[in-house]
Amino acid sequence: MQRVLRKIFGIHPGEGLTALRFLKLSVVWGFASSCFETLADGLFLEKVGTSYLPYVYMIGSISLIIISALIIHQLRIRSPYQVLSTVLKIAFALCLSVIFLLPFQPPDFFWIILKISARIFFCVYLASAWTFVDQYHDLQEAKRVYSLYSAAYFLGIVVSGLLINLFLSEIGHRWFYLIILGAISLGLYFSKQITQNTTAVHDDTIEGIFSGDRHGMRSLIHKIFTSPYTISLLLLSLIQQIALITTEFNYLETFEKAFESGSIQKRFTANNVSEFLGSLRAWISLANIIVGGFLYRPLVKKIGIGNVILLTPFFFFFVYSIWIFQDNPWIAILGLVAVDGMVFTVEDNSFNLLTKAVPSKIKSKVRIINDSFFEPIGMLISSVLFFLFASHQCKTLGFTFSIGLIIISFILRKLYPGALFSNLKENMIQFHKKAREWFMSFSKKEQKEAIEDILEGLESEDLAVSNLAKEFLERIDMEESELPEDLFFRNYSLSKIVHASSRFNPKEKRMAEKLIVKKGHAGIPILIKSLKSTQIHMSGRILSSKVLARISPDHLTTAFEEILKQEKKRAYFYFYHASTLSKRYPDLDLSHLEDAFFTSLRSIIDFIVHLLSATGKIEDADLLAQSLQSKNEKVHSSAVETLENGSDKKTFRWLLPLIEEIPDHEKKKAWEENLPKKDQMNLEELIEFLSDSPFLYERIIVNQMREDAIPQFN
Amino acid sequence: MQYLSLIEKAFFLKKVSLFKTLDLDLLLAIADKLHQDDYDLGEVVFKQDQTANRMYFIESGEIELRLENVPIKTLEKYDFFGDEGLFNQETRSYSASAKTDALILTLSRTDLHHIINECPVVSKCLLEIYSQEFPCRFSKK
Repeated sequence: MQRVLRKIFGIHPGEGLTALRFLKLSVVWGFASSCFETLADGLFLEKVGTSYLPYVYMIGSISLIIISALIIHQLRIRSPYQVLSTVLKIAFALCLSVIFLLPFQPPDFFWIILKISARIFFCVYLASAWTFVDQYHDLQEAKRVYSLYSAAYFLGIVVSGLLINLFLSEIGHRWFYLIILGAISLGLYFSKQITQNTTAVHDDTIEGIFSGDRHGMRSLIHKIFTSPYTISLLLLSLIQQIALITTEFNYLETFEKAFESGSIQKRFTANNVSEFLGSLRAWISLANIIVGGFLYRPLVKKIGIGNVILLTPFFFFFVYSIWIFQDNPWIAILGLVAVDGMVFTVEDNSFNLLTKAVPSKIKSKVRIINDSFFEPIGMLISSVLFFLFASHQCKTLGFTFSIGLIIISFILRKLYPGALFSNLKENMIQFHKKAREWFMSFSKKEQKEAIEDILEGLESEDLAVSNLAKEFLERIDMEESELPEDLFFRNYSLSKIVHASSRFNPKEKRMAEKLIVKKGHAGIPILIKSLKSTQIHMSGRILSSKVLARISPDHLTTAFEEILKQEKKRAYFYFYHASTLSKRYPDLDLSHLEDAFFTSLRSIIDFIVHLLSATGKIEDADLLAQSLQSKNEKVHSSAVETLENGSDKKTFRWLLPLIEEIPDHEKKKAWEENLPKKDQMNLEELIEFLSDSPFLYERIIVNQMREDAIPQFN
Repeated sequence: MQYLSLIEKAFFLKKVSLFKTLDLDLLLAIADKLHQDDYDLGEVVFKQDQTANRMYFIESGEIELRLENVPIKTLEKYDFFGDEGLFNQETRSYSASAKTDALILTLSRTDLHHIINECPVVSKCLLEIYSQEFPCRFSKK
């Protein structure tokens, strides 16, 4: 039963308790923010009225922008947990003041402030809670569980709506604010529990909490504008906000007209707009729970995030295609589904995944900008448009925005794989870059400062520093010249270079590659032979694939499928035995043998990645191969996503179990599908096999085991 | 706060024992990944039992290391600390705080491992340092 539930919700064994903690937090978060806002809205309408709404929107928008800027600044020096707990404590204080002041009939401005505060709390809680949750999940985990958390959040909203509907008139506002206080306290408790019991997925490649940033806000803006992906994502978000508010305006107008004509009352059991909307929203929230909890994750797995993001724009387009010609309550209901359903489940979940491709250093700030800046900006722009256009023209406006959404979504879809890869690149150390390239990448001002630093270095008393400064000056003064490769490798034939490449450092490998490319088509037969051979070191085979890709891609393409099939079988051979040895022979210490198999498996995966790169499917194989082996879980996760985008579905399907941590039953399913039974060896057969291995470390392991006098090995 | 340029960081690294044998290109690539933090007198750099994610290089000032609140060592310019926890997956076995105002350059675990993969000579330097500090691996902690 547990396995079935885990499979449905996408939770791996061992993750249940952690997921439960986040689910509990999501429920109270949904409940507290929704309840707070609903009560504040009700009290505002009751005590003040709609005539003050435009002022509320205006002051609310500006306040939200200021508070968001403050939060972005705070995130530079405080942790997401500290920011979240501060937000909750302020909300707690606000609720207490409401409970205290309610019996004293406070003046109008109090209810205005309460309405504004509730809206701000809703947006800020959303942004800071997701920033907090983000710390604990890499991209692959997020794809599995974020939709579940969203579903829990909607459950909180449904519970809030139900309780208000059933009990508000019975127990009054003060008791409800006490309940909200309880929910906020629970939110504080659950988030504290998470920090104490859950390990954050540290992305140690981004700046630490105390790291100084030279330019602060200017740097943030510069980083956003130099990332086309981030700009597209924020633009999509902004246009979506405007489309959302336009659609809200359109359906409210349609419902109002329908109520005036009595058509809704005939068809639905609703006495007024609020009841009608409340009932519809309850059904939509229920659907959101089902979509978020059960359907979203398999959808992303099946068609990919790049296609899922097209769903909401096309839905808006479909609704408005009819709405511009025909206005009736049924179309307006579809508009409500677009806003409260599609945007709040599909789009919000997709946004959470899409932010993973934003440059790591600005990711948390982009989320705050999106959740807290763009809502008020969208509101402001929409309200200006409603002044400029007559109400019957607002359907056309909505139609225009839906087309805009489709266009931006396609752009984002195209940029997503590249953005993930750029993130990996940015995180890696650029060892290939030369001194002159560094200097040329500086701005004019930075180049001038660099020259001053170098001149200061020349005058240093330390000989090492002054020599370094001298070298730098010489290097930026002239074009780089490499050691002539044929001088370096003059004693080696092509075959020997390929065989000896495992002993080269990365610089020497790059030089060897250039030399072999210079030899041209004459070396092709040796290169193809090396590529197919399982008897030479992976470095040699990788070198052969890189050279072949440059001098004769056709030969590589011809051999590609055959080699891939061969490597798949080898990879699963090592994967199966590394995963099952200890279980099959629990009384023996086979840890060295398992380590050797995992090492071989990693080498084969490296080779496969280079092979995919050589055939043009992946951009930088060295970077991707390194990132797949990274101990940084967020980097590894992004690398897996990049590999998915760079390989075909069939190849990625069998690669995934080899590179990602999956439950045991899925591992078993994978090797049963991909490794013939005859290749699943027992220990004696394995030892026999390894004794003739071309790889020294495997032969060493076997000899060591014989020396340790393990009976099976003698 | 004084901000070091890429060149200044590269010159600094040249004088750190771990990187003194590296060439200009490598020093610039590593310098690009160094982050910079200012610590006031008495400010804590990290506490004992905290998670270890970065190592620290002292650009200026002095840092005091403490074990169970007892000072064990004072480090100066060009010294480094906090590297042990990046290899043994354990939490900080000591605490560090600024004895004077200090400017510290930090390197993440991921980047350190990447540097060692690319430049094996760095791991050789670390092994030399560790073997000097712990001549006998089997002595009690």
